[in-house]
Amino acid sequence: MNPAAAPSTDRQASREAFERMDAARWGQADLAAALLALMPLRLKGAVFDGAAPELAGLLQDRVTQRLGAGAALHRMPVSITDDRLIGGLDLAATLAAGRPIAETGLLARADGGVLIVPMAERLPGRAAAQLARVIDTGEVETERDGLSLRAPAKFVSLAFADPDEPGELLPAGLGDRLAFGLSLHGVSPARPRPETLSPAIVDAARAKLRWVSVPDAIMHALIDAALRLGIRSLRAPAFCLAAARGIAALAGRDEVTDADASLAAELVYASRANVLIDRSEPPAPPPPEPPEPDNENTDDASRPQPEPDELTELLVEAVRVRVSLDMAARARTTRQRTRQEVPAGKSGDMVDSRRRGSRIGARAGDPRRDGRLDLLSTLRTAAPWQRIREAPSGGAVISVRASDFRVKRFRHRSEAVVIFVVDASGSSAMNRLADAKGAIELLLSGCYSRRESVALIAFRKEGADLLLPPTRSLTRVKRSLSRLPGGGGTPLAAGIAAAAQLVRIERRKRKAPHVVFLSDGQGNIALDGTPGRERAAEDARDMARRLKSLQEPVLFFDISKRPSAQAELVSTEMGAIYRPLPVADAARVSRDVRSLLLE
Amino acid sequence: MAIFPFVAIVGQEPLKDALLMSAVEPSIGGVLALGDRGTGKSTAIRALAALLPEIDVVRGCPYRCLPSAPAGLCTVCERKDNRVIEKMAAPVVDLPLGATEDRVVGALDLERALSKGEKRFEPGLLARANRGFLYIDEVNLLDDHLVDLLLDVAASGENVVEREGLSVRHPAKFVLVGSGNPEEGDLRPQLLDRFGLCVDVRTSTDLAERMEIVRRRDTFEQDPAAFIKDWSRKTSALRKRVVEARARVTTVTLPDAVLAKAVELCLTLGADGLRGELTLMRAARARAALSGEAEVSMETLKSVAPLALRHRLRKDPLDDTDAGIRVERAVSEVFVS
Repeated sequence: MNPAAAPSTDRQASREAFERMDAARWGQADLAAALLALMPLRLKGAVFDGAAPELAGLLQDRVTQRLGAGAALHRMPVSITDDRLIGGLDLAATLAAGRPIAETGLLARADGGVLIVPMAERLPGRAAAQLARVIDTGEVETERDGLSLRAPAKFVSLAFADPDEPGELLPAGLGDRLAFGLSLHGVSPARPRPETLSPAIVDAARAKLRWVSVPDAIMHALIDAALRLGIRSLRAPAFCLAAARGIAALAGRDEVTDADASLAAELVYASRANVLIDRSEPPAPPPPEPPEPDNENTDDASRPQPEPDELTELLVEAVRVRVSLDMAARARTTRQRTRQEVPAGKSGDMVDSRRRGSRIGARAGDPRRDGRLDLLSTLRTAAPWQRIREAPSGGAVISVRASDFRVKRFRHRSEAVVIFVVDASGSSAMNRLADAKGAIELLLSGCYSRRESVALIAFRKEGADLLLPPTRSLTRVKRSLSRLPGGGGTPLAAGIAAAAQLVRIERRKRKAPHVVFLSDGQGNIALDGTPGRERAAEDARDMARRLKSLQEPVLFFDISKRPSAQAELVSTEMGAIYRPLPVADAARVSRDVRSLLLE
Repeated sequence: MAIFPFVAIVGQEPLKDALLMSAVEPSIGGVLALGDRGTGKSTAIRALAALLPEIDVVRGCPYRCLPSAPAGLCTVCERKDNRVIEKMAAPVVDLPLGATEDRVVGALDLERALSKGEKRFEPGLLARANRGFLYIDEVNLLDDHLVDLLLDVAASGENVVEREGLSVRHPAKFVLVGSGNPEEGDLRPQLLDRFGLCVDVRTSTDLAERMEIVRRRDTFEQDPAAFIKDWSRKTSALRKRVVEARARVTTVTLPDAVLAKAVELCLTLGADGLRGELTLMRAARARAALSGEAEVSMETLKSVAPLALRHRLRKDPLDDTDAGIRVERAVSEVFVS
């Protein structure tokens, strides 16, 4: 927290280390860009997390140039509609021609080029699924508006995720289908980035690629390492194998080496690794040298899993180092950002439109009975018929009949997200978390289970963790809450801040967030992680006001033995409904959440 | 695009079994494959297209009518005097996400209506899927009303269209296959038990098996045509098995003792309704036919029970036990006595 007093030689050394790191991280991103251009059909694409706009632009350009002539860039806006994405009826052209005219969708246009997905973490599940499917099959099929089309759609997808958002970077099914996941947090946009992998080198590698072989030991280690890193999907090792081959080809080798494999593992596995990595571990030294072969370590025979061979260990270690470095870099940049952040309520929050729910399409219906007329869809339906319908009377240009009417379908206000924020500190942690877990499961298994999703933030020790990103799946809740951490101090302020941030994120996704606190209102850790009741209480009140300014419903369960003034104060500051909850009772929590918040 | 051969898929036996049983006995009522991503659900289902035996159809019939079964003939074929028979690949239709209802059920042929003023029905995806498979990937993302419609048609075997002044009905007998990831949103419970079989697809954590999967996939990607050729003998052998099983399945008998156990099993599990029993028996028959047996044995019944019943159990939010394990437990209970 107080880096100012470091001696200048240390500072010099740390700056050099930082610069080396910066160059290395960019180098990996650039390598990924070269590999994608080299093997677009096998590697499919990449997700970049926290890339500065300049770097994002540079990566896009490099992939495009290395793909060669004819490759173009296409952008996929997050809010893209089905008809723009996969194609449909071209309204204007259809009206003009008097017969159905198809319009090509973005995915088909991107064939042979590069598809950019900015702000990918906001991509709605449906659009992500469309994209995922096209990535799988290499073609886009359109069965809409009386049209039946098929077009090739093979492209490189580059997804960029917004830096300050926690949770998953991409709708899960999509992330798994793109080979690389790289974090570029804190990589400087200002430094010159000379091109070391020219299009000529990529072309040369392309010719070589077929002949690159992978030794059995390496293939074995790559697949074993994935398993040991908790990566279940089988796409990952397949990507890794292909990437290793590509790396060897770029280096002009015709056999994959251990170092190639290690690099490929970092590129592919780091973003997917699922094993707990201790955060307290200091960012480890640069990737280790290949270990000596006489390193005997055979006394651990009691474990059910056989000991990994050395290469596997090396790969796992390389990925771990990468993950902890990425986490450190991410923490650094987000800390900087929190300091600069303006008070709550960003301009992009779209409070009004959310209240209505967002549009998810149109269906046939009678606007007098079924809701609001969707004018565009109605015209689209009527358009192809104009030539055979009699000329409309009274000088109207277009003849619309009752059967053409389309009404808007909305995603209803019932798309609620209930965010549980739970005090997991001290001795009562396990009880409280179990309470929250019970309430969540009861909520989700209720008869309206399809309409709500839940998230869980727990605060303890020095900060708050999103233990469960918003989900509707009972399966997932069970899986991720089976091992709940607890204990330590009470960073209430951090808990409220995390809740406010998640509220904003969910609002941007046009969901209706509701917040439920389980706390005694007594923080003893300030926002910056330092202990001290006074600062902690002040920070908590500040954060509470910030949450209130978002004007979302909040329910506060006071979990102290007898209702405390402090809890009530914090509750009032955040504009919450206050409920004492002296004894643990999951059923009551779930009942109150339903009756007070959702209905 | 080249399709990975069905026979080259490593592991995933329950899913492969469920698909083969459905290919032998379509009245089982479809397959729902639930599971993690990257497990090859879609691969297996799409691979089925290249495996299924060709079917005889009336040339030019948009509904792929079966020439030997006049009852199933559509209005197009009925009017034809001279029906030429041809062979075609059994359809496996992949329902595109974002498909609109008019393209699924069929609608007025616009081009023709506009250019010739002729009122003609343009068959949709349901017609294309007749006598084959209809696959919905990510079934939890499809609009509820469309899923309901598909299930209705799959159950009745007939598609009835009343719209835009058209009144058409045509055969639409297909096996509905859905896939989804329960981690990305639970499915509506009403939906679950309308599928005949339900498979819980898991990724293997066995290193040797994973090695083999990745290796085969890699070989395939390097040279798909050669890979498919390498596996063509096994493919034809399996295809032959399906053809033979189809011929045998109607004659497979179900001994009373086995039937009694099937009923008891459903009662023990509280598997709702008659549907569970029916599916269980049909699946057992298909499985027996595939293994070349003339009657359903207790073993066969046991082996299909999880597939046929796991999604019919009443949900208990406080019981974490995997549904498949609950079925297996009931199986051992019932078969001990």
